[in-house]
Amino acid sequence: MEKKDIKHIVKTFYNALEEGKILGRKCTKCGHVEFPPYLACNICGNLDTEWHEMSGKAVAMQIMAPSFGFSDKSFRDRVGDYCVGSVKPEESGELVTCFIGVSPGRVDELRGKIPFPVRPIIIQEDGYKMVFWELDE
Amino acid sequence: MGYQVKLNPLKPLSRSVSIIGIGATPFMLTMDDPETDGLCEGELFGYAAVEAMKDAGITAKDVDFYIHAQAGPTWQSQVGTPNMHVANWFGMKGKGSCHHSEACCTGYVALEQAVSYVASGAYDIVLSGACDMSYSVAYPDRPAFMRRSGDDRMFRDTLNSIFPKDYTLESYAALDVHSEIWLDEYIHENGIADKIDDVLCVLARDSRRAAALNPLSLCNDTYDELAVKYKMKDADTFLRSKFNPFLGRYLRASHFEQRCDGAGAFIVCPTDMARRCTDHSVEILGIGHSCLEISTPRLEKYATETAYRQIRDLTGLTGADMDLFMANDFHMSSQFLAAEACEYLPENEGWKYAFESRTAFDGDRPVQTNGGRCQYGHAHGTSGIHDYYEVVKQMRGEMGPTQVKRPVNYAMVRGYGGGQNLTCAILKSNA
Ligand SMILES: [Zn+2]
Repeated sequence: MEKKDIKHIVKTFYNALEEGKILGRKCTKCGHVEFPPYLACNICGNLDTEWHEMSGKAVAMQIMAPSFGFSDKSFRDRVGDYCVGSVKPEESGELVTCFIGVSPGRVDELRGKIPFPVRPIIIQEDGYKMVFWELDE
Repeated sequence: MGYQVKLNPLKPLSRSVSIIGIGATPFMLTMDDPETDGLCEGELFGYAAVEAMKDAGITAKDVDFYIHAQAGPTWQSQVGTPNMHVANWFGMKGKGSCHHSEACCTGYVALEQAVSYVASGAYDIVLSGACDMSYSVAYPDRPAFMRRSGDDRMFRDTLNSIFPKDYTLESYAALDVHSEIWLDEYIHENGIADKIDDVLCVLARDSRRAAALNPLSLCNDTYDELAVKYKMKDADTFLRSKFNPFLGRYLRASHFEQRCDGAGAFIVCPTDMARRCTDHSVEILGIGHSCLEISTPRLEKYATETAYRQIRDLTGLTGADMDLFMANDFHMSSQFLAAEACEYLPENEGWKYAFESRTAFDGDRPVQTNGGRCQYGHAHGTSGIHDYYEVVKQMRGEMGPTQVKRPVNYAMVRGYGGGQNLTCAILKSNA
């Protein structure tokens, strides 16, 4: 292997967010998409993946109100109401995430609608951007 | 729907391995007690290792190799080569050694490491131990007897250090969800939202009852005794009072780990050698092992189920065949969630067993009989060794007031670290 063979994966992901694109890596054998992007496939073990722009279609699989003891108050101050839980993008596996703009008072109602549709929202952090999810309603 | 882990089957050990000696310091807040203030890693690991060797009837000369474990050598002890910092304390100078660190699962992996070294045939007698000083933390540039408080801010930074750093997609959610995301699913699948506080308060009371009777435990008073101190009617009143607030959505303060300092060690050797030198050795039938990083929802559930399937398929034994179950319950609900996932308790009934005190040390399906991480204490990487200590002593019938009511011939030990390693070991008494 030479230096030129080692392409940036993490930096490419973050650079794409700056342009509003969310990238994963698609397995060339089984088609599973690794999101966030990795080199090899965690489903079939194939060692080759290629860039894939995520469709943005996803559903929430679990939702909980932020807790008193462990939630991040500074995050709430910045983004307003949010809940925590898990999201399943259509092409990839389930991930822990935050649902932005969702009042904790809606958790019981939304739990009854699982899996409910959500869409990605890109938020500016300190020097980089990050993907979270919001209700698609 | 969830993440299904498919692992290659676990294979039998090349030769059978047994525990022949075990030692443990009490779990302590060393810097808060004049009797223990100033104790450091070398002393604590040393005392535990010496006790383990004496228990095995061997000396340091007999040990071929030693394994050091600690959840946080950098944040607790300010060292980068932790095995070397304690080796001379118990006669290991010059011997081969190594260090490993898997957060709260470290002490459980310590057994897998030791077993692998002996099963390979490379070594006959291996000492494996851990020391964690999560409460009384070292300074970077002062002698080790001088300690400072490992406060909540420092610990929160430490927890953040176990989250993925390549991407940070789970930001602001991971710390908040992992203590309860499996419990939340379980509560709604079983329709017990109105009962869960009762269940968890009974579990806290029973676990504390065991811890208060255990001389190695951090806590030596029951919740009933605490209630008297606060002029309340009983444990139940105390556990629902402002002195036991909700920190999570379901879990109160009494359902989270209590950080502390402590050490533990054990000696393993080939089972045929063990049978020749002692009549109370404990054989390790195998250890299932699955890891999921913290961006995976309900990682504790999926990796527990996977590690359990591995060991079940290897041994032909199920959780139902066990006489004792240990869970590493740094969120107390793990006691019945893990026991149920490993078929030690019937499906969807774990919460009932806990509520009816059937999982208490004096119940018919005992779980975490030392009182667990929330009542006995949690010296992170060392807690697993204390759980093995509990199993070995229960198998020998040496636990006195917390001895379970029937012989312990088989035990299952579910190890869990906060966001990676899940292990499931089956131990068998050779007595
Ligand atoms: Zn694949």
